[in-house]
Amino acid sequence: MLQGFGTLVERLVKDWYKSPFLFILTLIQPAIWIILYGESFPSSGISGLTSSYFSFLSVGMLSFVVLFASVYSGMAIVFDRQSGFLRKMLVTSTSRGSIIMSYVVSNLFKAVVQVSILIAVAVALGLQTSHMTALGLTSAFVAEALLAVGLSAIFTMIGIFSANPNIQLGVMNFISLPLLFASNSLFPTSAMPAWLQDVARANPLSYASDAARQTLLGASGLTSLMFDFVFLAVFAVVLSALSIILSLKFLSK
Amino acid sequence: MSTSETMHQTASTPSTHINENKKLIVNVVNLSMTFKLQIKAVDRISLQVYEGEIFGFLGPNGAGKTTTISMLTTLLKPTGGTAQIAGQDITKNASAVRSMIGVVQQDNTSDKHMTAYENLVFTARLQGVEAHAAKKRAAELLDLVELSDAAHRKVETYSGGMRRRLEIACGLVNTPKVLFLDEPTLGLDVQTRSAIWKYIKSLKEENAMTLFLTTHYMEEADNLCDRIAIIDHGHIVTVGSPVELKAKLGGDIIELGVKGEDKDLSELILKLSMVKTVTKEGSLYRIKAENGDEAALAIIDAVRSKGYYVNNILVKEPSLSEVYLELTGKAFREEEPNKARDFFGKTIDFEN
Repeated sequence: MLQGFGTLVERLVKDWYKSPFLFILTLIQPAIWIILYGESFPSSGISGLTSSYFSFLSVGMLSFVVLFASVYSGMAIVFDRQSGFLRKMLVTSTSRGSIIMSYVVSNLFKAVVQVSILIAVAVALGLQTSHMTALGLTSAFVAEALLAVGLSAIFTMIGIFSANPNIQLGVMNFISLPLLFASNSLFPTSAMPAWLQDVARANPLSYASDAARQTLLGASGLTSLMFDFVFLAVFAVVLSALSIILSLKFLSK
Repeated sequence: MSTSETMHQTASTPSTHINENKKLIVNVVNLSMTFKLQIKAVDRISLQVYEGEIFGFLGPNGAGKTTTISMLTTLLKPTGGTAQIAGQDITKNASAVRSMIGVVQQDNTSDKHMTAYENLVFTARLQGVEAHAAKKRAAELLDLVELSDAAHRKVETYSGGMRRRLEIACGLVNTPKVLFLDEPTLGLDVQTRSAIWKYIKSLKEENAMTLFLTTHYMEEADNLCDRIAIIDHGHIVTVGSPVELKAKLGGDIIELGVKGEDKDLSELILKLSMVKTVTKEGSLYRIKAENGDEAALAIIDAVRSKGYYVNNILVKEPSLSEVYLELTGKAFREEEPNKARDFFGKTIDFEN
C-alpha cells in the first residue's frame, strides 16, 4: 500500500529545497507578509479583540501561510502530468493513493516549515508570549497541520482533473482569496456582517486560526478548542479520503 | 537484400511453431475502448502473444495502437473485454500487472530536473525494489544502455537518443516479464535507431523477455518482429510472421503510370494471364501479378498496342509495407494524432 511513498515525498521536497531561489523565497515570504500587514493595519478601531491586533493578526497569518502553501500543491500534479512524469508513476505498481498523498504530505512538510518561521519572526516583532507553553505550541502546529492536509487535498483533487496549468491557476485564485477573507484570520468575526459570520463559521481557516489563538494567546474563542480540533480533524480525514478515492478512479495521464 | 531475406527465413521458422512450444503470456480477449461521443478506438480485439516473442503492433494513425497499449499497461480502463498478462487480469488485478510489466512510452517521462541515476532509482523504488538493490540495479541498467558516463548529469542536458535510452532503462528496473514499447525509435536518427534496436534485441536474448512494440518503421518491424498484428479502425486486420504476411500478398506489385491516357485501362491490363488484380489510385495503376518482371513487360506491350505510352513502371517484391498498404489502404506515414480536450482542458487521445 505504501510502496514507494517515501520516495515520492522525498522527490517533491527535494524539488523545493534544491531550487535555492524558490526555497529562500518561500522562507522570506511569510516574514514580509507579517511585517507589511502587522505594521500597516491600525490596532485601534477593531472590536472584539482580547489581545493586541498584531498578536491577533500574526497568529491568524499562520492559516494564511498554510492556505497559500497548499494552493500550490495542485500545481505539482499538473506539472507532472505535463512533463509526462505522472505517466511514469502510473505504470509502476505503486498505488494511486500513494501518489496523491505524496503531494499532500510534501506540502504539509513545507507548510510546517513556513509556520515555524512565521512564529519565530512574529515573536521577534512583538507577538505576545506570556501565554505560550510547549503544549500550546504543539497544539497550534497540529491545528495548522490538519488545515494543511485538508486544503492540500482539495487543491490536489482539483489537479486530478485539470491538465492545463491555466485552469489550475484560475481555480486557485478563485478559491483562495475568498477563503481567506471569509475567515477570522485577518479580522475577528465580530467585526463582520451577520451573513459573513455564518460563512466564516463554515470555513476551516477560521477553526485553525481560532485553535491557534486559544493555544498560543490564551484568547477566548469562536468556539471550544475541542470543537476546533474535531472540525479540523474531520476536514483533514474526509478530504484526504476523498482525494484517495477520486485518484483510484480518475487519476490518469 | 538477399541477406535480410535469409534472416527472415531463419527467424520465422521457429515462430510458425511457436503456438505449440511456448507459453501464452499476453492473452487479449475482446478488448474494447469506446471514448465519449461513441468513438470506438478499439473494437473487440483478441490476440495472443507467447513468451519470448517480439510482437509488433502496426497500424495507421488513429488505428488504436496507443489505446491498446494504454489498456494493456493499465493506464486506461477498457470499456469492454479484458486481457491477461502472465495470468493476471488487467481489469481485476491492475497492480499485479504493473509489477510484472515494463513500459517505454512514446514521449519522455523522466524528471528532467533529476539525473538519470536518480530517475532510475526513483522508478525502481516505486516498483517496490528495496533501496540498496535499487541503486545497484540503476548502475547496471545505465551500463547496459551506455549512459554510465552521463549518469549524474541532469536529464535536461541529454540528447533525444540519450533520453530514449534512459526511458528503456526505466522500463527495465523491475526485470519485467513483458516490456511494452510505444514507438521506441520515433523521431530518432538512423544510427540511434539501430543502436536502440540493438539494446532491445540483446535484452530479449539475455532475459527471455517478451516484447510488445509499436513502430512506424516497416523495415524495422520486418527485421525484428517474430510476429506482427496489423490494426486498422480499431480492428485487427491480420496476424502472422512477416514471412507469412508477405506470402499472403500472393505475388509482386507493379505500379504503372500511363502518359496521356483518356480512359481507364484496368480492364485491358486485367486480361493478361499473369495479372491477378488491378486497382487505380489517382494516376497510378496498382497491379498484383505472379511474376512481376514478365508481367511488367507484357503490360508495357499491351499499353503500347493501344497507342499509349508508359511513363513509369515499378516492380516491387512483396515487403511488409506492401502488405500494410494492401490491408489498410494507406501508405505508412506519420501524422498528427487526433486530440481533443475535455471540460478541464485535459487532452483526450483518440489515438495515434
